[in-house]
Amino acid sequence: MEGVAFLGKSLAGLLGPWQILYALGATLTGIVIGILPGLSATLGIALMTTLTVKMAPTDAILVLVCVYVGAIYGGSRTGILLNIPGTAANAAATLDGHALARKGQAGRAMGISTTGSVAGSLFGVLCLATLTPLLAEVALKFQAFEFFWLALLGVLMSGSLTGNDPLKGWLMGFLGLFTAQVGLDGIHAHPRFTFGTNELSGGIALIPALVGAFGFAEVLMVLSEPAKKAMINAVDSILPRISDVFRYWKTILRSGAIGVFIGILPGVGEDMGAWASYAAAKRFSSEREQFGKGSIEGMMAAETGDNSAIPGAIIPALALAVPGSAPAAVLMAAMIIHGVQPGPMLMVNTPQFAYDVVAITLIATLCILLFGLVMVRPLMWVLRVPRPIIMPIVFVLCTLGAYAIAARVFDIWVMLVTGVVCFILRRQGFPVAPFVLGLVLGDIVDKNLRRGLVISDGDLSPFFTRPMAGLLAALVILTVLAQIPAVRRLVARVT
Amino acid sequence: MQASSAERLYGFGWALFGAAVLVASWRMDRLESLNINPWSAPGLMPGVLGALMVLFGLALAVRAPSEAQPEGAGSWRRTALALVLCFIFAAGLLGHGLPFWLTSAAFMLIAILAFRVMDGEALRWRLAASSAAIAIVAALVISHVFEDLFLVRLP
Repeated sequence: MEGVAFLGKSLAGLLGPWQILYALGATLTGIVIGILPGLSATLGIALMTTLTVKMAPTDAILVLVCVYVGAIYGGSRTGILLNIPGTAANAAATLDGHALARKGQAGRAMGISTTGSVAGSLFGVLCLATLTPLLAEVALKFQAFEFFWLALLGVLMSGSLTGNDPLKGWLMGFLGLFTAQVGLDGIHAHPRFTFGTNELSGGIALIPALVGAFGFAEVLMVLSEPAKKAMINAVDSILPRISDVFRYWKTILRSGAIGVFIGILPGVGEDMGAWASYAAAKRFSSEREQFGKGSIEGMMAAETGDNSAIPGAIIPALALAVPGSAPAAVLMAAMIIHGVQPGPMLMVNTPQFAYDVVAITLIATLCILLFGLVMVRPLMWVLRVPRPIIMPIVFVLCTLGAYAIAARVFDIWVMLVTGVVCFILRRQGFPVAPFVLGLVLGDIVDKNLRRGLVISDGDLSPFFTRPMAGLLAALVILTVLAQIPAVRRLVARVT
Repeated sequence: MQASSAERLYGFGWALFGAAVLVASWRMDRLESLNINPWSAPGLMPGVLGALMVLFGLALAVRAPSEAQPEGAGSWRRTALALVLCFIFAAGLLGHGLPFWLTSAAFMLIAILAFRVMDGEALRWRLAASSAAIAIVAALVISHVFEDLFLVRLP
């Protein structure tokens, strides 16, 4: 009952005229970011963090969550019409969405996308409200040993699942963790890898590095390839059908649960939520031969899965300070910038804030429903703007976004260097998401490893013998072993 | 360069970087003069990461090439032009006294025009005029939104 009262208070505080305006504007911005191929939810949140730095914390998080939800929702438009997912999370929906568009049912596909996204988000919001306090209560028993493994697990899982090659993903995760070590160390304030410069003593700021990794690197990727002309066919009725909800309610519930579960897993994210939901829907469907050829059930599963993974990814960010995805990592960093400290103590010190986030996610869901009903056709023009026009504008925004947080020219250099390094590595198939997770979690991994060793006086056994630490350690070891071909062959032979 | 040889090269690159991190961490001050607990030495975590990068980098270098395809295959001419324009704007022009709207408009005009022409559009006055209009309007809107609405200082 206490939670309902908190939620009511949060909703009442978020229904002012300015808050509604912020929510609508931010969701629309998120949808446009999602529609533009290459611009991701992570970049959108990072850029908007710089714009919202002077806002009240709740208003700023309202804007950022709306951009997050809007971007994941908007990306399916591009997938349906151009067969290019707007964000990685929309790749699964593209399979059937574009197939439907080729049959002249692009509008129907967009309607399903709206239904699935709204249903998934609502399911996720329910889980966010109920699971965050429970997880935070469990996490109150965590010590340095558990937090060390949990953060490391996040980086390794992100490396395993977000790219095509786990080894490359893990290396990127380690690079992110290392980058977070630059500057004054968190225990003794001793300078590490600063080469005697004042600028590096402050560390590599997260937002400029993220803007470089997701923004500048993407600008270079897009501009280095010749533009393809967008061919947009006529669009039929875009209105979502309520009958779809009743017809596919089992798929919606299953996909919502899978999306939330995948979202909660540290560092995995919305794209895996969509793929896992899609695979499960295909397995249990009576019309599985239609999957990939324009299946409404497949499209519904993918869109429900990726959108329910958003609140899912916010749950561990709030309760454990270990984000469930790359966009949630930036959102968590923005919370810290605004003076909110996520983690198990959040529910003890500022429980109202956790319910503010629940209410904000609910409002963002209502906004995508509104825009799904009235703004689909007008937003199509975004797809017609040639990319050589968009990308230079995006680069100017990246430069400003990197500079604006601290008004330091050095941060522009951070953005440029990170962008070039990530561009070169991406060209060789190294994924960027584990780097982001590493950058966000580097401080947690470092401090908790050293704290744990100090508590145990150098004895490693508590890292393995405490029940939860042992479980997390086993998961970390299994995550690595499961990707070694010789181990997989051995397991296959035994089973 | 073939995928397998590129992967081997990158693998050795990672291992070399990891080794440099490991050596630098080992040589980092352990603050013994401050009587700190030796397990809280600042070089511990970077050292572990350096060792992991050596191990996994070598694994990347010696294993069979993966089936994962490198992302994108853009031309080096376009990449070089994008890099030069972006660095001139962000590192060369910003913060040297010129108004932000002017430098950003100039950058956007040149970049939009250059890449539209490279994408096959004929260089005519209409293309130049539309590119200039987009660049100037975008520069003014961005400057206004950041500086006046969100109270952000411009470089």
